[in-house]
Amino acid sequence: MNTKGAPLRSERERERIKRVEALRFDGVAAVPALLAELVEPSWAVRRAVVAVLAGAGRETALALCAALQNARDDEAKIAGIVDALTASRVDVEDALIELTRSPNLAVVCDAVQILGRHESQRALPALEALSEHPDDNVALAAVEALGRIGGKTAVDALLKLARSGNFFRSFPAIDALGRSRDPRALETLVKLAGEALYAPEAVRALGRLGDPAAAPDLVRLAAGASESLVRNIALALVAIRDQCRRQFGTGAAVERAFFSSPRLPALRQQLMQSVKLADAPEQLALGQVLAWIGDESTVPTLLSLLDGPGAVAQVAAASLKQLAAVAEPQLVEALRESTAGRRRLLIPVIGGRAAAREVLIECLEEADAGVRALACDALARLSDPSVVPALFTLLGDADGRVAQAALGAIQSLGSNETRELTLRAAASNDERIRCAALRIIGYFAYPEGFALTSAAASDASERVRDAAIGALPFFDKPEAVASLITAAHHESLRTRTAAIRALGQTSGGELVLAELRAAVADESPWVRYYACQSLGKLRDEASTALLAERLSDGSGQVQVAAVDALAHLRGPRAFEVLSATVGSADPDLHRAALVALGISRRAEALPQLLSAMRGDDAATRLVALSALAELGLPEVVPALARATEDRDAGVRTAATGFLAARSDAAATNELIALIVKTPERDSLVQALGHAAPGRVEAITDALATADDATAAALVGSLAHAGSPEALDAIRKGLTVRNDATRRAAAAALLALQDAESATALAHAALKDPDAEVRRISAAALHS
Amino acid sequence: MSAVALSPQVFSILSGLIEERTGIHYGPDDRALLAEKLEPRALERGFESLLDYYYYLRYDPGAAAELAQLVDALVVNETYFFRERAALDIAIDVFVTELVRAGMRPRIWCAACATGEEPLTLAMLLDAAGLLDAVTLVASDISGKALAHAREGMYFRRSLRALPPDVAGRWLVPAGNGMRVERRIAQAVDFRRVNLVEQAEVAALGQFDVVLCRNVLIYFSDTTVESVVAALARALRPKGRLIVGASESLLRFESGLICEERAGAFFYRKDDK
Repeated sequence: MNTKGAPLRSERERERIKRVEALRFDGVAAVPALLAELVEPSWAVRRAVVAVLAGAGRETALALCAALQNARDDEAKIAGIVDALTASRVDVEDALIELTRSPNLAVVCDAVQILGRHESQRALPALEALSEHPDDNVALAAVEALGRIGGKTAVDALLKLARSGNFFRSFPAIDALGRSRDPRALETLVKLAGEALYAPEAVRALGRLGDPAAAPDLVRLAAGASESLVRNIALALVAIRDQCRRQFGTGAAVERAFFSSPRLPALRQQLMQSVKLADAPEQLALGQVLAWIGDESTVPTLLSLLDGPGAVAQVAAASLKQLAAVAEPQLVEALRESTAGRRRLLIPVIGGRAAAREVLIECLEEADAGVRALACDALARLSDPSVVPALFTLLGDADGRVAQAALGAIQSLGSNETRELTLRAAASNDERIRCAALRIIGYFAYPEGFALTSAAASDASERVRDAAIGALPFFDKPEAVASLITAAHHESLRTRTAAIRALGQTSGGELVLAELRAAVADESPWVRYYACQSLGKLRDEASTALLAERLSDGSGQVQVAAVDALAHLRGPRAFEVLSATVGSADPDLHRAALVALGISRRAEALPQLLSAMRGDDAATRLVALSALAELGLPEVVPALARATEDRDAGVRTAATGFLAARSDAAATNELIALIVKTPERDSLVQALGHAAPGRVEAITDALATADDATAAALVGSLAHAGSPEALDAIRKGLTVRNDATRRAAAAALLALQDAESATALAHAALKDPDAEVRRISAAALHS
Repeated sequence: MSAVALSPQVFSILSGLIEERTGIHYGPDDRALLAEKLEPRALERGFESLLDYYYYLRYDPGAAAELAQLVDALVVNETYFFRERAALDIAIDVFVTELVRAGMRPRIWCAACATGEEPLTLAMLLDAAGLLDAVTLVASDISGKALAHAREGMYFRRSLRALPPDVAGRWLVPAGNGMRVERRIAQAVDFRRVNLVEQAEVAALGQFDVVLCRNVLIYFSDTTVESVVAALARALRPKGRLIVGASESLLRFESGLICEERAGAFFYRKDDK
């Protein structure tokens, strides 16, 4: 921001915070004074107190544990102590476990909450015991803490509670089990989903669990279930499918669960009926499920969802697109009969289908401009040149988007008629049609159109001149260059600018270069700007000094264009100037120089680019990262890996993309290393799934020692890759020594519905030494 | 359909410039949306590349005028008469009435008023309470186009969708397919062009007893919200109230203002010192 505000604290708050921060140095002696400040109404002050207490040492933390027991005279104070102990890194778990034995149940609840947030393994026995405490609040806090901690002991305790038959214990335990993502919860949750009292909660938990092995059971449960439970089941199935798609790149296991049901037609009916009372999230889920199992009968229901809220309508349109092959006549008719709003959604659904040709041509006359533009795009995809005459009628459309779409469609279709129609349009009285026609003439470089294009370059209308000038470079002939040079001296600045830009798109030559070199000194900064750009595009090494001089041009955009141009020149002087410009205080010049260093592809650029990656400005780091990726050197890989943890989301996404795009072993190894250490793995899993030489072997090697979470991610990458080699590696994973890898491989084969693995899965279902592998393999065989 | 591409790098610098100049924040997921809004402006100016257009906005002497036109294309003017009315009623019934009774002339500012529905609603409610002549009512927006609409005072179905039954005919007169705001109400509002991120422009308006800044902070980043709220807080007189949208809590910002609740509506009060 160019106008930063002053800190927003009042004078009084600033004083209090200063005092609080000074108490930091008094150690445990400061605890009473700090606790007294926690009753202060100002959030800023309380936050400062919590920060000081959380950062203090063991003695203070123990004093806070004592205060949790003894200083409970104020709710704000208690909340502050809990927050401080939660944020503290000092190990006082034993003291907190001791507090779980307090006669004051409120103290017990607070201690349990802190232990849960610390994911304390030592507290598990105490928490397990407390989960059966007669007081519901204590039991609930213990169940939530167990859910946060996860792992075998916690999940075992939760499973016991979920099966306890005690309503007030089972419900929170079911919720915690769903969040645990632990596959051992599946069997219990499926069983509870069959009990009327627990069904809705258990179904929701199965959705959160994300295990595709639950899909057949959920589909069975849906048959004959109430409408509200059917809606819940749809939500759960979509959640499981989404999880499968993130992990394995496919939701096939969930979608296919329906097709083994003998009651599929009845299920379709149930799902369609349950749309009526569904809220928006449920409609989103039902809209997707109806596409998986859809046929002509589901089309009317999906069409009705097109009138729903934005996201629902988008999902319904996507679902209808999946059904376009089986429901083409219905969709064409629906498009014909629809309002403009529905048409905007339906055109992309059936736009590319020949059967829609006539109705799409009708849509060109629709009052809504968005519909007309979409119809142009859709007609372009038909590959049917006979629609070109209809598109010509829109070249003069009052809405610029429509005219642009019609122009694009004509250019992509072409036809024998196009030439004649274009030449006729070029003589139109309508300026917009003339401009569009000139662009088409240029695009196809019709020889018959050259004379009128050349003449139009000096037309009275500025826009017509613009269009003609843009078209002239496509005619690779000296007369075109001559016309452009003439235009470069036009009295209109816009025309001169367009001509100088267009000269950069020609194949060059001495005449062109001389014109451009002269234009570098033009009085208009925009002419100088495009002159620099054009000299760069034409790689005019002789202009190096001229361009270097422009770095002290009075206009910033000219300096930037000079840097951009120098990037395309190979000489040592150009690189020297660019290296020096990286130090510019102007952020745009600095960034342009970084981009230029990337284009130079010189190893010497590496230190400056790495240094720029440490800057404060996210846009600059993104530019530096892109330039680093351009360099293509192996040394950039660690920098790309570091950037996947950048504080800016755009930089992180770009870094992952650059790593994914590389095919060297270094990138593969960095991606594997990141997957091993990063909890947020989805984008990395997909990145590692990109094909590269040696990648499958490297993943296989890493699987030998991977833990459960890492094995799941690495096998997920193989599933995303989807190549025969990768699939084979997953199948082989079922036979390796590492239990975690066999579990992950079995889960992947279940998700992928891999028919070729049936024998191996049958063997694993019976003989594998690991119970979890046996369970998943059996589920895979029965799905 | 797009004729001009917006790469992540150019998006990053262009969105940064727009945020710096207008406060409007675009996240990485908004790239296509921003490209759609920028493209017509860039083509209109004769640029075939959005990077060239960025340099135009950054360096050209005509950039200020262009930015004003771009803002018209970027801002969301979705609002309607009597939107979130409860807070307006309390502002008048409690704060404004109290000041008038004390013999003062309260100053009220609707910051980011879009096409004017909010200040005009306020004027109607003040008129109903017999206070319209006792207050100064200022309304501002960053968009010149939106302000031109507000000054025109002509509204159609979308703006009138939550109109209470007694309003039409009393303060809004049927005209063509829509309704026109009664002259006396329209003249009670002083519309000004103000960019909320430019603190000098905010300061130039003077101080107010009530500032409404509703449903605009959601378009800003946290850093910008903090800066804008600081400026609004400085524009409040002692004991003055800032009113933000129902979904725009300021509690996570150190605004220096005290949050208070009246009949379910939240207000931020400036200390009386």
